[in-house]
Amino acid sequence: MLLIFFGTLYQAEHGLYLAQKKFFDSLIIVDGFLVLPGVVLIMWLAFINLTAFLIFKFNYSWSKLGLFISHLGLVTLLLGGFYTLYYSKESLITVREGEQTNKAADYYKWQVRIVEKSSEIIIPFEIDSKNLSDDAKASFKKVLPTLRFEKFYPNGQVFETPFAGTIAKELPLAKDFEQNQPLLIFTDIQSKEKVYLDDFNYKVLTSKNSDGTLNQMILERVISELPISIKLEDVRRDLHPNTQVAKAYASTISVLDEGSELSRKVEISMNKPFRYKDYTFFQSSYGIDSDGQEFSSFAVVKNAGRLVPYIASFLTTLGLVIHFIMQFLKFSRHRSSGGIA
Amino acid sequence: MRETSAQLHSLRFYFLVLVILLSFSVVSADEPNLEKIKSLSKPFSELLILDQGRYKPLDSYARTKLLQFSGKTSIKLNLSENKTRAGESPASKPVNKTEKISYMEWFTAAVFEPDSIYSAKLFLINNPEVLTAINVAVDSHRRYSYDELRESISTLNQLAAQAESKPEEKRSLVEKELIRVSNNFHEFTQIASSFSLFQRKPMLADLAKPELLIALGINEGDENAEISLFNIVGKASELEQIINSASALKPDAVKLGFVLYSWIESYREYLNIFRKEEVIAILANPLPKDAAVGQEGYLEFVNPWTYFYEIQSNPDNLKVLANASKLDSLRYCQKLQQAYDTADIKVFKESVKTLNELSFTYIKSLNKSQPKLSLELLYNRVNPLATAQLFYLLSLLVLAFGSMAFYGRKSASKSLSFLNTIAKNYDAGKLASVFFLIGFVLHALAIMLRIFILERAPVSNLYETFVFVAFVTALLGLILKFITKEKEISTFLGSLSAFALLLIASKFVTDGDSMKVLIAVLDSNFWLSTHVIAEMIGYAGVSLAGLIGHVYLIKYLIRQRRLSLNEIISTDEPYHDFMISVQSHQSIVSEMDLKFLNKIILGMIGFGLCFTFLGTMLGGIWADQSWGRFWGWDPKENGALLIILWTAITLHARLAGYIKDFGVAVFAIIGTMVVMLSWFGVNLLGVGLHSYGFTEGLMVNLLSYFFIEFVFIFVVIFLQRSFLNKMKS
Repeated sequence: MLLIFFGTLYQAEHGLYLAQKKFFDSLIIVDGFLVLPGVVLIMWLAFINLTAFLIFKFNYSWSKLGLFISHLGLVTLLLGGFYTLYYSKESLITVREGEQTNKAADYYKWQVRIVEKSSEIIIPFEIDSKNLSDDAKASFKKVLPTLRFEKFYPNGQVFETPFAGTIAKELPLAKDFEQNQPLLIFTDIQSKEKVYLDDFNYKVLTSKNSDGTLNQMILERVISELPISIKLEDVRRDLHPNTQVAKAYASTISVLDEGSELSRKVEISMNKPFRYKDYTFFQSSYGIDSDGQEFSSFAVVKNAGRLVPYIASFLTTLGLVIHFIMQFLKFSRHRSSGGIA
Repeated sequence: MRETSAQLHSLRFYFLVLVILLSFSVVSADEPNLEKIKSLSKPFSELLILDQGRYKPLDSYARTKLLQFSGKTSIKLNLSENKTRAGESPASKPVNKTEKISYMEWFTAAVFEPDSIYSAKLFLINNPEVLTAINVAVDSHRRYSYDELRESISTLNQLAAQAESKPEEKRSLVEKELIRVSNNFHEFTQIASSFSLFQRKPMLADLAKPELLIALGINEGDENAEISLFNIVGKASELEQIINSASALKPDAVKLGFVLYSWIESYREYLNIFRKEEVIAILANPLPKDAAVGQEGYLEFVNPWTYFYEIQSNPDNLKVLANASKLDSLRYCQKLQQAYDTADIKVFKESVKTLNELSFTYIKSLNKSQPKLSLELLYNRVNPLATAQLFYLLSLLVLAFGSMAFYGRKSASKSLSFLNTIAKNYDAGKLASVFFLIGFVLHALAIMLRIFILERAPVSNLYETFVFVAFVTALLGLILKFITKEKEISTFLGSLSAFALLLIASKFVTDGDSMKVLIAVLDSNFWLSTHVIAEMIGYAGVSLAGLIGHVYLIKYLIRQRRLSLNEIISTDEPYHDFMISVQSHQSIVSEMDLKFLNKIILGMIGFGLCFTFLGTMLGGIWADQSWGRFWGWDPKENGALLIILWTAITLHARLAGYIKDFGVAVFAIIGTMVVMLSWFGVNLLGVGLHSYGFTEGLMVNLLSYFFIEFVFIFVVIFLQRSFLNKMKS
């Protein structure tokens, strides 16, 4: 309980993602000299304890039917939680009106993709780790021998200033973790000039090999390809009259299955997602880009175990209600007969 | 960013112009004709407007605004001299009379005759430093009139603009208050000028010589003729003819034209900037819907001034207006003003009716459901929640009274003989339950009305959740009353919890309209009703358990004390719990009572656990449906989880023997604290959601509540230990 409480407080200051990583998804929390079990560890312990209790110690009788069902439900719920924790995948698809794509970007994970002659090297990294691994640095050196890796900002921005030229500035980590824009800074060994790599203005770094072929280095969010591609046909936003408060968002998309020719139209709106096999697409945001083109973002969640919590919560609630009603009947029987246990 | 701040600057400039222009009309500050205002405010309250995305009667708007400005729903008017006494001897002092008028009466006067209420103490300013900063003398009532603030308005605006340029979290309390007061002043100015288009202006009367008016065809030498801006603008082409002619009236005509032009221009700029915050938008927008596209959105309804401009596609304002056939709805507004001036109730009512009919036809043409105007008026006028609260309080008072009388009889004290007779003649318990039932029915009625008006589940903001949980606790009290023999204690619990929660809810009323529109994510009737209602029923159960926990502990201590002192009854009982005697007419708190209370606490905790769990899981399913994740560790979810864990811990700890009946009561009280924490403590974390002053006040209240509860628990445990020690020795 305390963990959840402090985790929530931490979240108010550091944003959801970090709090989740630190308090909720980890086995052990280390903060200075304080070592605490993480929520996941407690959940595992609770799971083992509950299962053992149900198997070995539970006093099976009709009067405890409700209790049994509800605890069974909890075990299922925890199982579902573990499954989701380890196997579900979230990403984001952003499409402009009239365009089509099957690429979904990861919320939090970034990678450096190095295109070398005909092969590709991918260096993934976590942007909250503050530093890059030695492997990554070595790869940089190999591909771009003329550059020396200097610094890495988890959230940084490059400014063009009129007098001081181009300046890189480190920004505090954004509370919404997906809004962080990592920035890599190199120094050109010969000219001593700074060279930047980000996902904004300085997208690609190139270097020439001795045989004249080009190497390319690109910083981007981890991209995954979906088995279907979607085309955004139309997106609309309804406002409450005379206000800027949105009443509803809705997008009409055409879904094209891999290998098939025919597409079909689907409408996605708030509270009305589109499901395809293990994937679910949700209306996430809406906007107008600098070209005045409307675009729509969909959160894509891959979770095969999404029905587990439904079943589990149904079981637990059912069990609780059965038990409560049985207790209640017992209570009122006692009352009506005048005696009190 | 830069653009907005430039806008703000120009806004404050035009605002100043507006104030100066308004002050032209203050030459003859009349006292309001109270009788007229009283008779016209009722039909005026029925006018349909569009505000914050919702169609509503003007009544709701006026109420919200007066609450926003002054924190009250009525306002005192100072009537310095009573005119009817003019015949009396002049030596007698001017009689200072104050008269309280309702929010709607205030609003009627503010719209049709603003200068009559400029002296009313309207603006609530909590922080004396604000007053020092703007050079206004501090008043003990903390409320200041328009007249008092007007002198310092440019200082106030400058300070507010400076404060606004800071990021929100860096503003001090004084700066926040400066911004709030400046905005309120500004909004009041907008309200007060909403009908200025149709009002007679002394300044215009001075400028427009009778001969000129005759030439324009307005005045036939009649002193009472209309010399409003709207009227003269309507004669724009005639005015232009005179200006272009070589008539002797030309200089006057040029002067008049210039004043009109500059006035209209300043209003135009002013309105252009403030399009989004339409003040009393009562008229259907004359422009077709595709005329406005992009991010700004389309204004369905506009106020008279905006309407006045929107019908002009031609830059030559004066000309176009003269022959515009689209002026019809504006003419009805003018009729309203004229009917007000001449105190003609019949014409006034008819004009309101016609304006409403125009609006209804327009809303119908948009294929929207018709606003429930009369239901909302009924809700505002009856104010069932406040009445319900009153009845709950009455029920509590009767119970308290009855028990005191009972004590009085026992102790045969003479001073209480009066109460004695009452207790003999009336069964306090029955009377209390009648009051309780009346309160309950009104409470149910209020919630039903809200459902009908808003067409959604009555649990979509903090205010509504408190009202709803209060209702559920009252309902639980009622159920207890029917299934147990402890009638009085059930009445007591139901009334107390419902009253306390409604009291908390009433603190949110000054926060603005309690019937706000929903944002897109929440706009799902099925999930909103099932998930939130289940969650709230759970809250109610756990809260009630905590309340009973208090009762249990007090009774327990009384019993322990008696046992330790070996007394049958003591008349100067220090832990004077009035319920003891009422509830069973037994002089000793029996073991049975405690057992019974314990059972109820456990039942309520179990009940709360069931519903909180159900609600949380439904919430998970909703989240899975709309965001693709069942659980995301967000503060509200964690709060709900805390309640579930705590109630589960309570039940398991009892089962395992870690706590006994006494401990269950203590745990139940802590459970209520957990509920409060997740109810709004979690909301407090969401930085920048609501106005800061409000949230800070809430934080203090919440912390002091926690403090009091901790002290209570500590004292109880301390006393329990000391009694146990005494019994041992």
